[in-house]
Amino acid sequence: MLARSTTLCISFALATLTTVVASMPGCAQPLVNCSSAHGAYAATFELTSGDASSACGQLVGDVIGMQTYFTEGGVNGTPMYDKAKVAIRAESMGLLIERAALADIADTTDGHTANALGDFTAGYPAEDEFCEIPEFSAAEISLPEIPEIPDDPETEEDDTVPAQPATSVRYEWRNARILVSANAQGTQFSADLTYTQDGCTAEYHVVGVYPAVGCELDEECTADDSGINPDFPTRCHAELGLCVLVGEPPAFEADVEA
Amino acid sequence: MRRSAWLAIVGAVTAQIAIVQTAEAGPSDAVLTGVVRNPSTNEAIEGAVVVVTGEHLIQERSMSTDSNGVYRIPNLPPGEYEITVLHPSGATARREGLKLRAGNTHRVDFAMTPEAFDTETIVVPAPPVDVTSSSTGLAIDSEMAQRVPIAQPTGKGGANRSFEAIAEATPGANGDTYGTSIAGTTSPENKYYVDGLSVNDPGFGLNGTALSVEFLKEVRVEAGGYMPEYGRATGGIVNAVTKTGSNKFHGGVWGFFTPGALEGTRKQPQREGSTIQIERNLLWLGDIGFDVGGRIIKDKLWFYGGVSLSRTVYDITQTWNRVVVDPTTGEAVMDDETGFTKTERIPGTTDIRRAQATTIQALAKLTYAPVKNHTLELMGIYAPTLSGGNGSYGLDARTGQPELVTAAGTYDALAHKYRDDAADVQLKWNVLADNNRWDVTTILGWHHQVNQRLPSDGSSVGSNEGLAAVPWVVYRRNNPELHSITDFTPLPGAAPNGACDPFIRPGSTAEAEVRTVTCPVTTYYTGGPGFIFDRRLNRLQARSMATRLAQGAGHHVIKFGVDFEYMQYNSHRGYTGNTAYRESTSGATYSDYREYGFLTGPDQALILPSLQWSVFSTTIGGFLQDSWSIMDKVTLNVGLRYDAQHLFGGDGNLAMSLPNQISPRVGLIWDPTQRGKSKLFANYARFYQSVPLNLADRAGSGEPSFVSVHDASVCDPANLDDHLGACQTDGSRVQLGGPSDPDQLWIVTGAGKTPIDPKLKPQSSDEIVAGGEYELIPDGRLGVSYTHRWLNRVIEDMSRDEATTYFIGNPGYGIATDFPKAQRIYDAAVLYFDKRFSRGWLVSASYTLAFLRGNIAGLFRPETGQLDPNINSDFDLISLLDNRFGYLPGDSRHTFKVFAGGEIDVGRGNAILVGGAFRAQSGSPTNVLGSHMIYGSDEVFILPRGAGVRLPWVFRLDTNIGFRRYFSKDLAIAITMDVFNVANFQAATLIDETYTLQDVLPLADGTTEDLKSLKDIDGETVVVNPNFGRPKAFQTPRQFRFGVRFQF
Repeated sequence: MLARSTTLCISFALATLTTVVASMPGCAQPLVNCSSAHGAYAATFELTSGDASSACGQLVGDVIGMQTYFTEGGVNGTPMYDKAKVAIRAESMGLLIERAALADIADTTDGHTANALGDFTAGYPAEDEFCEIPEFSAAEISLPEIPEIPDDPETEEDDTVPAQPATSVRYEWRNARILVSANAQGTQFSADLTYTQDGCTAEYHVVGVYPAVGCELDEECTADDSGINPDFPTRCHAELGLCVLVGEPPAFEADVEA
Repeated sequence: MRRSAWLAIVGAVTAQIAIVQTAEAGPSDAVLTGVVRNPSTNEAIEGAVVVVTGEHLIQERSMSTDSNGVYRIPNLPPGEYEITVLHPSGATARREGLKLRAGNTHRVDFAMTPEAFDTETIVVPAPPVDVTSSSTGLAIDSEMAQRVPIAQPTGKGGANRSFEAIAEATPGANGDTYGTSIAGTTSPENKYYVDGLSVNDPGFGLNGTALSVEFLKEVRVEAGGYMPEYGRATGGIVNAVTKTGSNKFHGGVWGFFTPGALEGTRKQPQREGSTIQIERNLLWLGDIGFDVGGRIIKDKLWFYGGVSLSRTVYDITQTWNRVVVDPTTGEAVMDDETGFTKTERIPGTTDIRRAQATTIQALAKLTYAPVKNHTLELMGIYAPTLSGGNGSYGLDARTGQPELVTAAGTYDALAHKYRDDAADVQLKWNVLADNNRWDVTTILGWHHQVNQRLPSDGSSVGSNEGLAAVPWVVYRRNNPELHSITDFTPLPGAAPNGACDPFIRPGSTAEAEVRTVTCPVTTYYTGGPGFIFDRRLNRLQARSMATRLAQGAGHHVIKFGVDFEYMQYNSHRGYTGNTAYRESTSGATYSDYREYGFLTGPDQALILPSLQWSVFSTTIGGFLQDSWSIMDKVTLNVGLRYDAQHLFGGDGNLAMSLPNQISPRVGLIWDPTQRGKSKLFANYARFYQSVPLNLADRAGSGEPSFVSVHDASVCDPANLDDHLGACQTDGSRVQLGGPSDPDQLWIVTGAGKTPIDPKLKPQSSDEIVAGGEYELIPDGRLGVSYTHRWLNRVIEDMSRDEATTYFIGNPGYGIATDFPKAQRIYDAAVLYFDKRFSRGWLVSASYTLAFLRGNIAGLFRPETGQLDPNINSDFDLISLLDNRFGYLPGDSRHTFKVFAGGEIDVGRGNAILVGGAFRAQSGSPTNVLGSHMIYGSDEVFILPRGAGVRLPWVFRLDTNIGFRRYFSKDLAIAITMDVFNVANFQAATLIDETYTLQDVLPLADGTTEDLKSLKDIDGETVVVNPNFGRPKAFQTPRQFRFGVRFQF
């Protein structure tokens, strides 16, 4: 009787243990969802096809804004973090719109035509820690000539805004690869770009690092408080005045030193 | 000497010593052990039957001695016992009056000659020194809890004298913001048990069931050096043991009352004047209750149950004050003495509201012995607390203090209605077998909590009705001038007309009027109460452990077990009216300061009325330990514990994996007297921390939130029509995005889950304790111990890129190698004397010399009160890391504690009760803090941690005096009066550590001298907070508590 009870107790304990061990997940930490960083990257443009002397073949780099949007339909109205799309917006295009908005010819918040949108192919990064967006919608604007805004004689400074000739610009992004891990949460990316300006077309390979940090010296890019992950190899791109990534993603200091 | 004679002597000595060491008792019960031998030959007596009976033992226990004469009877509820030993020859011996304590192993030896047939009856105290255990701590029995005024009436768990409040009596323990800190740790690091049922709040780690000591037989605090059967805590183990029924009917009725009118004078902190000033004064608090225990079937089925009702009421007095203005210059007048702006009270503006809370606790317990050696125990607790609402303010259940810290707002915007329920059910099954050599206990338990913080009208989270639908608005304009309070609330009718009108400076023209606002408010809150929540928490537990007594090179007590816990946290939260608006300092715009929601496309916002995640974790663990007496000289306690915790986020996916928590524990104990009178011990232990679910809820599930900014000329959020209409249109939103931003109107502030460093390891600490104890007088032990405890890896969230992205990792390891390693080092020497209640008196006294330093306090941040276990802001940003190492807030160098109680028999069944507590504690260090550009106020350590002045010593003397009338042995009535802080000492217990409200960076290794040249991040000389270094709080004043207790 007593021995049986004891056996029962121990059996219970073992049964609990077995059930729990069988249902236990592994030791690995969860993967991070695919996402870009939420803001501005400093990007370098490398011409891969087209005439380097043409107007459209001279891009060196730009500030590239990115945002990730999640699909609705998660638990209790929350987003589905594994179904996301990304918007890319080049600052130079945004500046053209801002100039037009200043003359009341365009509205910065209307239409979002400067944004290129594309879907992640997966909810989680692949084994190489990259999330891919093979295709984007084209970002395109077409603006008429915008007249000069003359100087305001009431102010001391010359606040003349020069005229902007009529222009049409088109960004076609593709093959975006965003590095996503605990240590690089969408903060490095590369992509291919077909750039068309007023009928002139060139192709570029673009590499970006987040966030976009202005600089004059390399040291400013490696300072602790720069906002750039200190593991990333960066340098100051004098022409752009921005800290840019050295190498192709994934780029890490440890690899550079090795 | 012949060989056989030697063997006999060695054998006898072996028998005598072997039982000195047998393993630890369980947390809720006691173990009785000893040896039976023949005094003339010194030989062990095998086969003697030891019978144990006690009032709280449902069936007598018996066991026959082994070949070494040893007996060991485990699983005895604490209480008074009688042992009878029957010699095989028929002789008997008896011991009566043995008082056994939970968690202790008591040794009682017998010397018997087969010739002596006479029964020998001796009343003996149980030895106070537990020679089997190297753990440090204190057992507080109901005698001490009732006779000594330990828990102050106000404060957390004060009204109903909850068990965690009295745990503070333990040597080396101190009160902290959320409970009792043990051995330099923070209160959420403790493990709280009621009868072995884990009752920690699954979300935040605090004590979830604040059970009154009236229902308890004993509170046992394991401060350190404990065995592998206890785990998942880097703090102490606090176990409450509830009373049980018996064959006799026993019970009691009690009532306690603390009137606010008899409070000593409260010293009020002098602060820079503000228009609204509040004073919080206790009106009254008290509790009443009863309990009863007895039998349903004699020796088979017992019951125990009780109910207590406690209530706390504060008066919150609010007055309006105006700035005194120099009539010629129009400038505010400064007080030369204090350096503060002078203010004067406006008559007729006094408004009094209440802050109140009511708690009911009910406990029921059945003890059933279906057959010999089987005991089943079913316990249930229900303890709801209701607080605030209906025109009153609430009390914060986590601190026990009135919720109101500022009065700069309307009642609707500042007040909440709280509900905090705890419910527990436990089934415990104990089986003894094989002559008590097997002892198997299985526990199934459920702990449940409801924590609600709702608007004062009780409307629910996410609702479109009542205050839940009204947005919170924070006004903070300071340019060109501050708001006058009359912008929001009309001057009370009884106040003189125009008392708050601005002062127009003499000589200023109508076109360019120069004014001074006389009733200014720097911040003011209107609308609904902002952040509200409805949390449901569950903890399901299944545990089974077995103890086996064995022989082999001495005696072994082998204990092993498995332990499974499933924790669940359903957190439903939101902002009233979906949004908390904040006015800009210019007053031109309002931002959606707090708003849940996410973008589905560029500027396509989806606002969530509330956010609800249900997260959970599983923890599986097991342990194996052996208490082995080696060569019968010393005891080696050795064991290993394994735990694995997995946390899951709101989407049901794994959020964090914490496997392979291997906790070795090794202890060595030697009794120099070899008679159970003393011990010298040393112990090494590793402890792992269970991660509370708040991390899985916030970081593991994501808090999607965003901000837009509204033009104040289009959107007035205080107007509900605007809030629902104009404020929801893009037309009211100002452009935030730059040329590269895909969104022009919205900024995403919280997106997905926080990633985890793939190399993350669980949080743990190591400890070495050593010491000695000696039974100085019967029932009294003198001891000394030394504790060295340090943190290993810590789990925290960090950002390597200044708040751009965050991850969770171990500071100093993995991808966080450029962060400093987390450190917390505690060293303490304790000298203590503990005599439990016997022969009419008890005393528990200790002196602790302690050093506590590091760069993290624990699971909450004492400087700001932030309680986000494992995701506090300690390591968040690289720009915040300088100056973090130093003496921590819990560093009180010297602590004296003396608790004493006695009963003086004055004849004819009358007795005088006297008791008292004296505490003296040296002051804690303070800091010099500043604001951070991203993190806001008090996040920057301008100077190294602890560089501020030390707080003064705090002294407190509490007394208890009473009268008890015994009508019979078991029937008595007592009337008592406790006086807390008899001398009404008013030392400062908190000072303002905010050096400046401007954004600054740490002055690495700076000194007070460097403060003079401190500049903010824009290079401007900082304005020093006029309140810096001034007291913010003083000791609780003198309080009287009157009590009556009837016992049968």
